[in-house]
Amino acid sequence: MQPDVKNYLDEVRLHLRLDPAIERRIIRELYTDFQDRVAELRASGLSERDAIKAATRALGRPRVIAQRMYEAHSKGSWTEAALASLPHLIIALLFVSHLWHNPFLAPAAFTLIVGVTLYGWWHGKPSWLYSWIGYSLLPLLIGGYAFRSTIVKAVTYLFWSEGSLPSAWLMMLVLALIIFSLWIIIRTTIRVVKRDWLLTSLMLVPLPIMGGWLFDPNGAGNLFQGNTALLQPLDGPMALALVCLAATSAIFIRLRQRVLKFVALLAVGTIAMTTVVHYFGSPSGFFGLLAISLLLLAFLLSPALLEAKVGHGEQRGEAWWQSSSLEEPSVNS
Amino acid sequence: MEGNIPKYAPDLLRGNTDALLLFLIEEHPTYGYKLIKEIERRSNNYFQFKEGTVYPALHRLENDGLIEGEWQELPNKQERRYYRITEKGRQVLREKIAAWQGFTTAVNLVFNPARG
Repeated sequence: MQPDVKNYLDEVRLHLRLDPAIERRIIRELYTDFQDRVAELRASGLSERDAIKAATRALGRPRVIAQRMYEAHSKGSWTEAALASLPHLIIALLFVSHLWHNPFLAPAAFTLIVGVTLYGWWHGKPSWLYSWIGYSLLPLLIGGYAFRSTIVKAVTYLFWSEGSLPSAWLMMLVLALIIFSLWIIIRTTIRVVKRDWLLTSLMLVPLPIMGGWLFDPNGAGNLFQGNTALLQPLDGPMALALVCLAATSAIFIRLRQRVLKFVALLAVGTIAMTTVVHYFGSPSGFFGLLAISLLLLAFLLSPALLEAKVGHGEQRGEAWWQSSSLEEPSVNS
Repeated sequence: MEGNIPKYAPDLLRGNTDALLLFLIEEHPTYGYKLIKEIERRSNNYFQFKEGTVYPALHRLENDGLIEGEWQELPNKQERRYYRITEKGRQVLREKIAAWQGFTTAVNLVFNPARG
């Protein structure tokens, strides 16, 4: 394939940010169009080189095609919007009913969420999946939090030679859990960033809220000590913030334009997270809240920086979109 | 849409691109590049669509269930994605044609009241 054509198609793909199966189909279709156009130009008497240049020019600007293709595919159905908002609503329901500490309901909710996430992950990664992934990562954070005293004991002993070292098997268990959790979180984040950093932000948006609730000294610190009653005043704000996120996820799926998705996610996400942080009682004052808002905004924008580092899509050779058979690739979003 | 067309034509065409594509696809299953050329030919080069207009429209129509695409391999091994209209697409096309005819009739009545 001519370098001009490959560069052009790579440029289109770089800005598509769609399901890989759809990207493959789009590039394949543009390539066949390009072949038709070159053949026609050659028949009119142009040299191959000139025909390729003219055909590439005639296709239009890669960014424009990519943006319009994105808009053709980015709007999900109402069912997809409902599915995207569902994990937020499930967790919100646990808070609003004050049942999040129920030994059966909370694990059952997370088992359901992880199950749906795994199903979606192995069935084409549809766009509604990304809000489920965020909650699926939470048990890893909770696991890390549950072993915090062991970690603190080990670090204190190793660096300051104070106290005693926890038992070897417990240390190995905690270490394995940390390594596994980090591996899952980093690998998942990179995989999602390679598809679209905006979906990564959608995926990560519940984590500061749930993490804040979990790690707040006045929050879930009491959870593991059995003082759940002290946490109940936070249930209302938590449920409200999660309902906001549910609405944002649904709007995100229904919107066609990328810039509107971006604005909706960042605006509502930051407001919801700041509200919850405010209810935790820290920090106080306008500037404290402003600082927290900016930090949370930076957190939601961080996947964009990561994308600049890891790139979009997977490294592929020439004509990567062409399959050996003409069977339609699965299209799920 | 590109080309040397009157200033207000894009406004007129907006919303009718789908109808043009559906109409041609209803005649017989066809592919993107052929549609671009056919629209050019039938309009005496008045409409000069670019790929950036036609393919997103085709994909949107397919996502809406108005057309169906299928890859086919030609004898020379070249692949093409052919689109065919669905029953839902036919109904939408009828509605779009009726709406367009009603609109143009009304505009003509205003412009040429004597004919009414």
